[in-house]
Amino acid sequence: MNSMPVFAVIGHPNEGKSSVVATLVENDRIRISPRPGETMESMTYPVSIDGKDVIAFVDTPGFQNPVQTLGWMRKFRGSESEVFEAFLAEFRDDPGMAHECELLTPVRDGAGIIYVLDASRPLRQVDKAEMEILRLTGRPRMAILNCKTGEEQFLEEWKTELRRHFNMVRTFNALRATFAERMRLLESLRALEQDWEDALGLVVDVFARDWRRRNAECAALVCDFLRRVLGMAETAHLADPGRKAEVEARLVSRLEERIRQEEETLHEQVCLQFRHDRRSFVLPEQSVLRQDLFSRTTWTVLGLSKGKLVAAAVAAGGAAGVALDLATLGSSLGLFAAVGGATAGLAALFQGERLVRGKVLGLGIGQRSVQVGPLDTVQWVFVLLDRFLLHYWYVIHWSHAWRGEDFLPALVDEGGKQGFTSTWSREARGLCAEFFKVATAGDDSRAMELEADLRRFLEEELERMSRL
Amino acid sequence: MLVRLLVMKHGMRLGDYLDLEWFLEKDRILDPGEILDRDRKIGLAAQAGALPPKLQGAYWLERRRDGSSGGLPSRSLCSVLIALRLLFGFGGLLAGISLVRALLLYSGIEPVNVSVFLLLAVLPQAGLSLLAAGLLVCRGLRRTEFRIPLRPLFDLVWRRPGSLSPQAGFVRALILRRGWPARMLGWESLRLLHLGGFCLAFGSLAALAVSVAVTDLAFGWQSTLRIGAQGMHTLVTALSAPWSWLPEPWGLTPTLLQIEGSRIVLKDGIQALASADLVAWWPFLCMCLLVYALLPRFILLASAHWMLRRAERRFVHPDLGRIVDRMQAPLLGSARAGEIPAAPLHLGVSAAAGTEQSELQGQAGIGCVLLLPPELVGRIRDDLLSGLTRRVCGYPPGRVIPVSLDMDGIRQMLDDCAGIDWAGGFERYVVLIEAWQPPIRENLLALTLLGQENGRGRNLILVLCGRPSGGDWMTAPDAAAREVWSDAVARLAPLRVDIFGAST
Repeated sequence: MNSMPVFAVIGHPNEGKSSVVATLVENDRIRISPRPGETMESMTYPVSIDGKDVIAFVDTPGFQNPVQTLGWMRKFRGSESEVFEAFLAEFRDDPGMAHECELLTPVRDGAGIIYVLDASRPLRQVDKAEMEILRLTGRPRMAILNCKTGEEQFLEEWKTELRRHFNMVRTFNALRATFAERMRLLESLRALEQDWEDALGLVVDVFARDWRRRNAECAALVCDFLRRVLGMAETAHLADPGRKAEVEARLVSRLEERIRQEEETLHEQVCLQFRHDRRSFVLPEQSVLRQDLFSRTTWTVLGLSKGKLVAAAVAAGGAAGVALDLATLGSSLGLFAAVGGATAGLAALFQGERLVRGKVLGLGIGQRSVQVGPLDTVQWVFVLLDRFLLHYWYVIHWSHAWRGEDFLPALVDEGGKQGFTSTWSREARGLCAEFFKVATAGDDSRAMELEADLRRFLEEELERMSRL
Repeated sequence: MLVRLLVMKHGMRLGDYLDLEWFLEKDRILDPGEILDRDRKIGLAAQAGALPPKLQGAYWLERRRDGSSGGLPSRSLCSVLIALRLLFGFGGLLAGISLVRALLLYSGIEPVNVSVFLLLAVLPQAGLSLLAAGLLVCRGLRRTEFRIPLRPLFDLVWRRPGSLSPQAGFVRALILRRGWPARMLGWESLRLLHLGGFCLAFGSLAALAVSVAVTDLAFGWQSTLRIGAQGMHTLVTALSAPWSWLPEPWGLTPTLLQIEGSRIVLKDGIQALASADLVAWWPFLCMCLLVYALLPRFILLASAHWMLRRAERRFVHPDLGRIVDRMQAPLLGSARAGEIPAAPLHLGVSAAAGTEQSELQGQAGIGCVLLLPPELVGRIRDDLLSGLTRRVCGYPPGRVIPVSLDMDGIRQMLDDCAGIDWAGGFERYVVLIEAWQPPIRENLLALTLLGQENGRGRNLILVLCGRPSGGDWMTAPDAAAREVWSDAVARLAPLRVDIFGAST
């Protein structure tokens, strides 16, 4: 038995073997083609921890002669343990049996077997021949039902047949697999062979820890992004007061571009955290993320509804007022909190949906300069967060096995709003609104305290989304 | 490095935090994988050195500094602070010396006025110290952060960021953008001010002591008010209360007689005064400077220092946790193997060709034979099958033979069909293929075997059907499957095969 668990991913051509490997090892570069027979040689993809390989998956070519192979094996007169060695010796130089030799070599060398099949099609004789060959290996083996088209009418038929040949049967769609499903699959492999339990346990633990670390990184990235964007302003010298409108328009355009670039950098960093090549990651056609950040559509679809926006602003304004009330040792009877909340609520009610274009701060300092920004409508923080979360959602659902097809994961839809923030608790929305308030006001020490809270909340939220 | 780490064990300093921000800013443009690799290596080195977890952040910083070329913000800050410390230190010292020297000018005609000395050299310093202490107490009671309006100051001093070095520009931007560096710098500024005050007091005391040692000074007091020596004695006793416990023989407080003996009455001159009484004042003045100027300033300097260290120690940089996490988390990797070039499957058609012989025996009336996958037997109505063969070759199926598309199956089928009398003398085989199954080598070899004419006319027609759907087992194939099968069959040339798509 190998000390390092090795799993040969075996199956009929075009059943999704390479996709399973690509998803498990998070490798965008594995060739995945809709055309059968593209994998000509076995390729080993090790998973390493601190540079030391701990498990490996071998992507193998598909069976090309299962009936002939099984026939030969049945006719073999030697002991069962010698059949594979004899088969490989017999057909080593036969180009027609090259695929069989390639896929059986790692099994002969001690690899466990992951048999991948497309359960959305009916069972056929060749499949039975393949299963029988694998049963003859006597190796630990698991079957993965990969429903490529999503149809499950043959699922039970497959399960019944597979249970006769395999130690374990699992359903796993390589293109839709979430993090939790990947973890469950690895856990199942752990139970396949006792000698591999420790190594696979370590891999599962490290995968889980790594995922948490990625979420923490993403939460930090978005908080940093928010702080940068919310504090952004553009200032220009105004030589001629008559050209104020022109200068303002130029500044607005420059500010918008800076915010767009910051968001693009954020999205790219999130992609990289999850080992996706930004160039291969494509947003769905229908996604609101394809809309410009400053478009009406973005604001209509993302962010909070008016009622929730006002409630969040009231909570944020009230929180600031509470601090003043505390400073008076309660003598104000909560007056500051009430006034602060009401003021913020009214501001959100009337200005909550104003775009940056509608917010041009022309601060004349002796009629010599013009300033645009920082952003002053609380809805901004929710729109920006929604766009981040939406992008994160696409990224974690973007399979490493996916190659070019459109895919739209399910999203929340609440009263026309499709963002995630609208489903958050009142406290969470209040926290975001308060963060916006202090970040735009330049209250750095308070912003830092809130940022720590916001990070913690977002980490939990990302963890929750990962497990959906 | 270990020494520096031990110095940092009480927490990172302002300069360290600035460097931390500097490196984090540089990391923003790096690939996360690259950052992970680097930080994990640092983490493993820290583990190898059995470094306690709380020192790992500092260790990371030291390693980054070691690997960094060029200046660092901490060095820029350090240069500025050294210059300012020298300025405040020497400035204070010189100011103290010059102040006391000016007050101690004595030419033998008029003694140094003790009251003036106290008013100008001691009381202002004591008053400022008291004010600073009062502000600190107020701040402590209100439990709010001490704030020095540094933003306008920095804006004023560094108006042209472009003219600064990148490191200095970064420090400026950071202090203006974030709250915590400004707060720490506030404490640093306060410490600088107290350093200046301390040096001023020290300079005053030193100047007094040296003047007494190297010159002949006479001290006296005078007043138009009728307070008398008793009144002055009461005041002196009150002022010397802090050191009244020290032995009297040391002469740190003038006695009533000495006070009486050193009273200057202008119209009488100083000739009548005793020299011993005139010099009895200097220990008292030294103690006043020590107790009311030097010691309070020293306490304030120490408290500002302590407050700065406390602010640094209590500050938790939000990204330090991420860094330590990256150092401690095992690095998960997967090899990026190169792609395998695609190549057509080797069929070995030539080897298979001509290996089979079949003899057709006369059997009238059979237009075509339909070969059906065994799994489809009984699933497709006969009329549909009949319509299918009529459509593709013009004949109804004379026989429908369930056969799997492998060599053994086809050989068996050909044996079974031997002797059929084919209509028109042409053998017509229609093969229904589930095109969603990829054309594996076995299938293609079987087709090759089936297509061998052996001198007799034989038509081979493939009908491709798609995935079963809603009980319909003869659906149209999708374009991709059709293309895959067409390509595979094309590789069987010169074997001629006609391909049709099934459709109900």
